[in-house]
Amino acid sequence: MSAPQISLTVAFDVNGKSCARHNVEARRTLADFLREDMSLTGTHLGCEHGACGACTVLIDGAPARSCLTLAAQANGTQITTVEGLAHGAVLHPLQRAFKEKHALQCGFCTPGFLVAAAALLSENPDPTELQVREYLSGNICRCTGYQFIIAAVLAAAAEINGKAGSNV
Amino acid sequence: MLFGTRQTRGEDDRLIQGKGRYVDDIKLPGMLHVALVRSEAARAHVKVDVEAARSAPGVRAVFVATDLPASAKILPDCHPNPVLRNPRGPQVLADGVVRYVGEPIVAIVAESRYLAEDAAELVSVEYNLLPAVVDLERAMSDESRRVHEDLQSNLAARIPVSCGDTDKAFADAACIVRERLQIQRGAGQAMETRGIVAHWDPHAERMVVWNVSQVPFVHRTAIANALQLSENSVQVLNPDVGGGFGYKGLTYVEDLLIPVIARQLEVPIKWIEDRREHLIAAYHERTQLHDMEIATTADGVILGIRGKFLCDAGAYTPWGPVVPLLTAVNIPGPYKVPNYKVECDLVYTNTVPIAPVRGAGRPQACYVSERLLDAVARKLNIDGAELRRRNLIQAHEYPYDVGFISRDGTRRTYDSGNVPALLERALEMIEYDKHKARQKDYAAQGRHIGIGLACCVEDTGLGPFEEVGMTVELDGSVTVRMGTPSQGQGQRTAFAQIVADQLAVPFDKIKVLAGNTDNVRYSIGTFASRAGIVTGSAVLNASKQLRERALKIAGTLLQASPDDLTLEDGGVVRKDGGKLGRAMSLSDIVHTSLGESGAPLPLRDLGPGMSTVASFSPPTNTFATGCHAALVEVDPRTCKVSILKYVAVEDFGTMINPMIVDGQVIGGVGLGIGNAFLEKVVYDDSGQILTGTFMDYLVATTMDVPHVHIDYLATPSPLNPLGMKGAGQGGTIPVPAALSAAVEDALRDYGLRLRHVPFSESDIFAALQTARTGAAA
Amino acid sequence: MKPPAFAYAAPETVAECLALKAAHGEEARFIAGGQSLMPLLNLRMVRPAVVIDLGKVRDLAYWRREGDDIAIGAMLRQRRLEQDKELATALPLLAEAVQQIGHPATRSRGTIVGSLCHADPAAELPVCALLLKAQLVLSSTKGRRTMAAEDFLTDALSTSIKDDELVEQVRIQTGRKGTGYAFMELARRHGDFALISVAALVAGTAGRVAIGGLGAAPLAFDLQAGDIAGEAQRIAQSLEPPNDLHATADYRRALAQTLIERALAKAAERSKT
Repeated sequence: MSAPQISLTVAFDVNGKSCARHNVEARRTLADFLREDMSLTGTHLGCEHGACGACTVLIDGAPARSCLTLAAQANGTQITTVEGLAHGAVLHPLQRAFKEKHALQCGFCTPGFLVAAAALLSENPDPTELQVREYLSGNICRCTGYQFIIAAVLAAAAEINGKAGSNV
Repeated sequence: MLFGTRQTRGEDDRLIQGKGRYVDDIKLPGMLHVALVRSEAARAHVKVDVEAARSAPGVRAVFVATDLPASAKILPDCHPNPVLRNPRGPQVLADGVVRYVGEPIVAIVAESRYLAEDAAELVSVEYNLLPAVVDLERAMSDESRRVHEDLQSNLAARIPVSCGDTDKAFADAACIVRERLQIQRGAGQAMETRGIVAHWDPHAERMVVWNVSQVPFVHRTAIANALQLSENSVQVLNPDVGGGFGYKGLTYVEDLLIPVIARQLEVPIKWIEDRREHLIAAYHERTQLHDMEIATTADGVILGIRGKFLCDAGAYTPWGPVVPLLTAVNIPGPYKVPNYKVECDLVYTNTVPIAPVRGAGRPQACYVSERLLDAVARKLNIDGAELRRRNLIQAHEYPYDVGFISRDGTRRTYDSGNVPALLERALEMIEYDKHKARQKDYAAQGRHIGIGLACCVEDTGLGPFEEVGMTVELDGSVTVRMGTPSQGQGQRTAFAQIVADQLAVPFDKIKVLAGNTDNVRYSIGTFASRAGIVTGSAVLNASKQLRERALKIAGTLLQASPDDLTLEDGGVVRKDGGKLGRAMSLSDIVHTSLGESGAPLPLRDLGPGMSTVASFSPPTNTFATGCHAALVEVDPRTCKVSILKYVAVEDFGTMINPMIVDGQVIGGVGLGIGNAFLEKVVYDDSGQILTGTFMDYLVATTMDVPHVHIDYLATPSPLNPLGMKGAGQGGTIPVPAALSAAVEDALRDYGLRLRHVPFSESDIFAALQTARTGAAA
Repeated sequence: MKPPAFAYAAPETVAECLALKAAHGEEARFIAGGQSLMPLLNLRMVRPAVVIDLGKVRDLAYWRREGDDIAIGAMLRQRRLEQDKELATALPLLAEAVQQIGHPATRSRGTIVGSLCHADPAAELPVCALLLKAQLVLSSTKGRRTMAAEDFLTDALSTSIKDDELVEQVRIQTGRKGTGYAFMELARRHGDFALISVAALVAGTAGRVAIGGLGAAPLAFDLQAGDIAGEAQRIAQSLEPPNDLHATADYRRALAQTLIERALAKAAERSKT
């Protein structure tokens, strides 16, 4: 398939389900594809130039800005969105910690933070506060001042590691 | 009791699973998408050719100014004020002349946003450029350049505020300090941009509009007027809204434009503002230039403050003179200023209009008064904390008559407070004495560490009223309806906490509905730290009415005196613990009082059901207060600032949910840190905006906002039944002042003076060079 | 902010990539990680007719030792410098610099070669490449040529690449025993492009620095004397950095002096361990 095409078939796994769509415009971003074509509106568009992190998803387990990725580039990959973090009715420890620690207010940036934090904890299950801050520095939140987001990520890490509650 | 507890939020379960519904998540069958062509010039006469765009793929309509009805050409003045001598409303679509970069000129309606943007590129706009008015001072001096050619000058409003006799105060003063202090332009920049979905429902014969408004009732009126419909033919709904910060509490031209298009085409229309549009065209705030002076005794006791300042209005006045008016009345802050005189000129420039952004004129006021105090402390060689102690209004002096008329037309009177106690607590938490004593040791180690303090007041809980509807449903659950929507403040949780206590109903059986103009009859909206107080008090009033009614109905049914009864666990019990004739839940009460279909109403005197509408009208503002302290370290070579510790001590009166209030404070500090160091909208001399992306307009990240240490001391407000004060903006207001003082203190040996915010590393470097040259001269 | 229409191809071999590029020339853009190209597309600041995705090409996401060099393929993501301990040990300067590039979500997509090709004047990797005299391998249907970073990086957002070429590989010298490396920068915020960045190496009495954030291609200087402070001042004085929104030229010059001094001191210290 090397002749350049204006539209093409896009096929990948999203949250464990395979999906395929035909006649997807080559220019369509992964974010728009997920939101519009897959109705996965948990992924939010905050800036569309890669500077806010609201649209963060996992591509083959690695965090990525879905506004800076073409749907076509994601062909053949496994995508995880915020909708895929919970296992059925069981929330991800991060999701529970975000609620417990008041890590969200308006909730618009929250999916991006959750997905990025999930990537962090899968790479580094026991991060320091500074490591959490560095890892999440590409995600902007205008409501919380971040403090409770950091606390929630550390609390979730503690839970995953079977430690007693975090004191942050 | 849930009131006063750290109840986790009922809002969160959906939002953490990606199940929120924001305006861009709304999809309607047949919906079309709008992209706007915006002005690329700050001031120009324009000619537009849209023919190529009309025939572009997927384009269904193109709107220019002449396509709009007369009722929808100019945005009405939503905040009329007599001092606004020359109001000018924004053009819904520019009609022959543009006055700022970003002003909308053409609306493209297409099958997708992609296609709409493609067509927008085909619109040809011919600009006949005129010299732009950008610089504030020049705008007032150079009469040849006027933003509005029909006006004699660029003056939009002149705002005087005064009390006492400043001439005498300054004549008698032992110490006078003058400063020129500037706050530069910033923006709200919620993570969700603005967006609108509008749909003409031919069956209901109504215009249904989903938008991100903080003031849906204001928008309903504006849309009805634009469409020449009755208000009952317009419904405004707010889905989840991704942050408001004040500037979503205003009306924008798109709020009229999109419904007009939907009405004309009779098709659902969506417009989602992109971040670039949000940066260049959503209202900004903060630009003010102050020439102020303070007079004190030799001991540093304030005799008077006087001066003038300029406020940049931008090109239009959609929200009147509110921002500079708030600065003018807030400069005295929590200090005793017996003689005060300030005059502000609100000035048109060829830039985006300004409107309140979180803090709304008060960060400027706090910056002015605190910077003047720091200058006095330096001149008289008095410790900054001690100087503040000498000037703060003392606890026993509340209620305190400030001496002039406030924003709401009443005599400005601080209802309650104890700022001296806030100051002492902040000093203790930041370990003021310890660090001050060690400053010489730090210097010897080559470390430059400083402390800054700032105290503030915030007028909160504005009138005139809010209304709340409340119903106990047949199953005993409670529905609360209100007109003040949430933009993330957790109102559904906080208001349910009030209801839960009054009606003894579990938290999760209470549903709070907001963001729908069909919910209540009248409403003002969520802004100026008012919803918690005004709506919250209305929620209390409605809950109390239903509680009283439940006991009255139960008393009648149980042949007991209502005074002997109370509510517990969703039902009626005897206060003395004695047994009732029969168990009676709220559900039983509703069932019984509603009667059976077809039969006469059982309790004819009491009427049917358990439902009420209540309102609350505060007599005037209640004043929240705060004191912030910052400990910073500065590298004098790179000029990089590190915040070592940040303390916020706040008095928000009684708090419904301290967890939510913590979030407000820390988030507010985060914006304040941006205002101090990072957030700056920049225009060049031709009026081009240089900060059109998030790579240029910088907001604070996880690496910029430190852990904020918070404490509260409450002086409950006497002006509302729960003793609350607003908490939405107190976190932001003192931050630029406190951080400026801390950085100056850290580099005091270099003679650093900071006279504007935000200040970057580069700005500190320049100020150090100025200090060096000044010292050498 | 939606990209303009373009045609897309995702070849599976380098040869196909080169054939497509030869056919479409300047009308075609390669996309690797897309972290530089996609913002420009979304802002409609570039409008290629064809986008050639390197992501599906087998064998471009490699790194391997070639003599004293590490050879890095065009699709090797920046995150590998953090996650692959062996690579990080082999390229200590890049491993230090990569922490300052954007954020994990951009580094896990963005490529090392892509950053060199974008040639942002404030980017980190071009500074490292210049300091370490990296060699870029440029391929086209006509053949292959190798070029030093100094010749490749010509100006802000400009390189010596031709319309039919692909940078297939970059070769960077491995860290040497007895040589100390340091990377320092100051940005307005963590992860932002640097106001000034400095990469330094010290080996015995020899030293070299490269400086980014100059509004043009980065510049490298070999030390002429052992006096670090004096050298830092001399080099900084010769710079002509830009005035922009975020910093003045004067500040940048002073900052460069400080960072050169500090980076050299740190590199010297590291050279001894």
